[in-house]
Amino acid sequence: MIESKPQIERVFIEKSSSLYPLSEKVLNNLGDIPQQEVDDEEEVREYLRLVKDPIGKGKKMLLLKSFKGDFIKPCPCTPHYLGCNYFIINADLNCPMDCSYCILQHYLDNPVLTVHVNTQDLWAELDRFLKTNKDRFLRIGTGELGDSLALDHLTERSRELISYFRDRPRANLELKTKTTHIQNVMSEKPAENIVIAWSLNSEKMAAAEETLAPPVRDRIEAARQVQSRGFRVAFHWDPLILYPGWEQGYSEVIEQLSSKIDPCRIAWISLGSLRFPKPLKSLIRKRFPSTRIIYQEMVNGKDGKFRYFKPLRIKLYQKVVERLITHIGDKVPLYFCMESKEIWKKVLNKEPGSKEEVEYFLSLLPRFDAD
Amino acid sequence: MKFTQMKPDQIDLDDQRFRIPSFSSLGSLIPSIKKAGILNPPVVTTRSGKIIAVSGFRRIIASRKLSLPMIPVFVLKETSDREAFKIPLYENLSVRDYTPIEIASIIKKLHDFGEPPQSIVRTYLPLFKSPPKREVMDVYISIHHLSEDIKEIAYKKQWPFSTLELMTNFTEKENKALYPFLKAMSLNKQKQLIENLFDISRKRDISVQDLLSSDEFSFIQNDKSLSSVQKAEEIFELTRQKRNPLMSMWRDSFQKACENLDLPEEITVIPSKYFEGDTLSLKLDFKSRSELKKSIQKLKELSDKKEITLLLDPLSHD
Repeated sequence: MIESKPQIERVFIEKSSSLYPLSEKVLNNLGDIPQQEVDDEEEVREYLRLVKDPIGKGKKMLLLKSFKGDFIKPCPCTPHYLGCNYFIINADLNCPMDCSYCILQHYLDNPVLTVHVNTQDLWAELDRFLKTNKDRFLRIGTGELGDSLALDHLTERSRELISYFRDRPRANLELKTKTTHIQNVMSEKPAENIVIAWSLNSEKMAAAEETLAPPVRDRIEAARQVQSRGFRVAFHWDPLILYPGWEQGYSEVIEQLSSKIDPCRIAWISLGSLRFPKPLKSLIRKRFPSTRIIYQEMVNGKDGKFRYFKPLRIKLYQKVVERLITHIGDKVPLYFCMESKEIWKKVLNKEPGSKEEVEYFLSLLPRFDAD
Repeated sequence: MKFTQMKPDQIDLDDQRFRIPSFSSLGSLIPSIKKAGILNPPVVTTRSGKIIAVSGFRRIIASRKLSLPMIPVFVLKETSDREAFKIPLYENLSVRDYTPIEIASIIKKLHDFGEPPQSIVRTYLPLFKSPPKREVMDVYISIHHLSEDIKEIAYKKQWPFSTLELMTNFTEKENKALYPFLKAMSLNKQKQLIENLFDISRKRDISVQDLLSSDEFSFIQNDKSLSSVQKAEEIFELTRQKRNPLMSMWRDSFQKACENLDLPEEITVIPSKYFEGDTLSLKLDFKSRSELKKSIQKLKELSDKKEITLLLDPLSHD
C-alpha cells in the first residue's frame, strides 16, 4: 500500500491563532516548511488571486486559523432531490488531492487547505448539538468540505473525534476519505458508532480523474485493515462516471471489495452519479483539459446541476446495484446521494418519503443474523 | 492639459496605440456633431513628432467626414503611454460599461504598456465588474487574440464572458470554420452551438473543422436550396442531436407516442423538463362547458388506452 502525504509548500498562521495547541501540533508535525504569520485569511486569499491556478496552488498551502462560525451544519444536499439528514463538521476545509470533478473547486471561496485550530470551541458546540438532539439517531462526519484523513498526519484529529464520539453512541461519526492515512485510526479503540468510509471509483477513473489519490485497491486494503481492527466501514460510490468500459471497471472493483471486506461490518454504501453546477464545467475544462467526463449526455437537473440523462443514470445505478447485491448480498443498506424518489423506487425498490425516513433506514441495526 | 483648436487632418489616426477598438458604426455621432458640434473635445498628444489621438477617435473621424475646418482638443503633455492610456479608459467608463471584447482589448493594452499584473487584477478588473483574479486577466488576454470576425460577432451580440472564454479554446481554424454559421444566429443559439460543438469535438477527439466537414454537416452546407440562415438552423439542430443523441431519440419517441394516441387539438401532454421528473402535465383548452365535458370524456377514453403507458413510463421507449 503506497502512502502519499500532501506536499505542503507554505504554512500561513493567523496571528490570533498561533497559540492554540493544535497550531503547535500541526507545525511540529510539518517540520521544516516556510511559515508566514498573517493578520487574517484575507491576506492568503489576496495572494491566491494573483496566481494562475489558485485552486492548484491552494492545495499546497495550509492555513491555520480559528473558526468563528458554526462548526456543525446540516448537509446542504441539493434542492428537489432526496437528502439523508446528514450533519457535517467543518473542522478542516479543502483537500490536497485534485479530483477533476470535485465540487469544492466551485463551492469554497478560499482554495487554501484550512485547519480550524480552535478545537475547544468545536467540542463545546458538539456538546450543545448532541444535547439538543439527544433523542434522535444522528449521522455526522467531517468528510464533506474536505477529506477526513488527508491532513490527519498533521492534525491527529481522527483520534480526538473517535475518543469523543465513543462515549456518545447515538451519534454515528463517519470519517470519509480517499486516502490510506489510517495510522491514527488504527491506534484507537474501535466503537460501533465510528464508521470509517472510503470514496470508491473504478481504477481507471481513479487514475485519470483523481489526481494524487491512491489507487482504489489501496483504499480497499486500508478499509480491510480498519475493519480488521474492529471498526465498521462504509463506501461511497460517488461520483459514478459513465465512460467506455464503465460496467467492467465497476464490476472489478466490486469483486475486489467483496473479496477483502466482510459485508456484515459495512455500515452503508451510498451511490451518486456525476453532477456539477454549470460554473464548475468551465472550471473543469480549464483545469483538466484532457478530461472527457463532462462531455457525456447530461441534462440540467431540477436543482440546476448537470447530471446524466435519467435513463442513463438508471442504467448505471441498476448495473452497479446488481453487482453489489451479487457480491456482497442484499443486507448492506444502499442509499442514494442527491437522487429523486423515482430513482430510489426504480433502482432500489424503496420509497422513502423524506430525508428523515432515509436516516431511519440507515440507522436500523443490527442488520445481520448471527450465524 | 492645454485646450486648443486643431484641424482634424493634423491628427495622425494611423497610430492607434490608445484606441479602444469599437465595432460600432459612427451611427448617430455624425448628425449629433453636425447639429451640436463637438461638446466633449478629444485628447491628443505627440509621439515621434506627430500629433496622435489619445481619446475621441470616432469624434475625429466624424469631424473629418463632416469636413470640419477646426475642432476643439485637449493636448496632453508628454507622458508615458501607460499613463496616457488611462485617459480614454476612464473617459468611456464614466458614461458606459465596457463590453467583454473591449475589456479584453483594454487589459491587453494595459499589460503591453507595462501595467503590473497585480495592478490589473486589483485595480482594473473590479472597475470592469470582473472578479479580481489573475486567471480572469489571462482569459481576457486570450479573448483579445480571437479573430476580428469572431470578435465583431461577439461585440454585436454581446456575448457573455463565459462564451468568449469557451471560444478561446478553439483553434484559429476552428474559429474560421464556425464563423459562417455563427453570424446567422441569435445569441442564445450561438452560445448553444459553440458549447455543443466544443463538447462533441472533445468527446470524439476531433477538431471542430473536421466535425463540420463530416458528411452530415457537409450535406447541409452544400445544399443549394437552403439560405445561410436555414443552413445555420439545420447545423444547429444536427449539433444538438449529436450532443444529446439519447435525449433526441427520447423526445422523438415521446412525440410519436403522442401522435399515436391521436390526441385532439385541445389536449396537449407535456413531459417534464428533460424528462427529469416522473410526472406529465396535461393542457386542456376549452371555450364552453360542453367543450370541457367533451374533452373530459375524451380524456377518460385516453386513460383506458394501453398506449398511454408509453407516455407514463419513458423507460418503455427503449
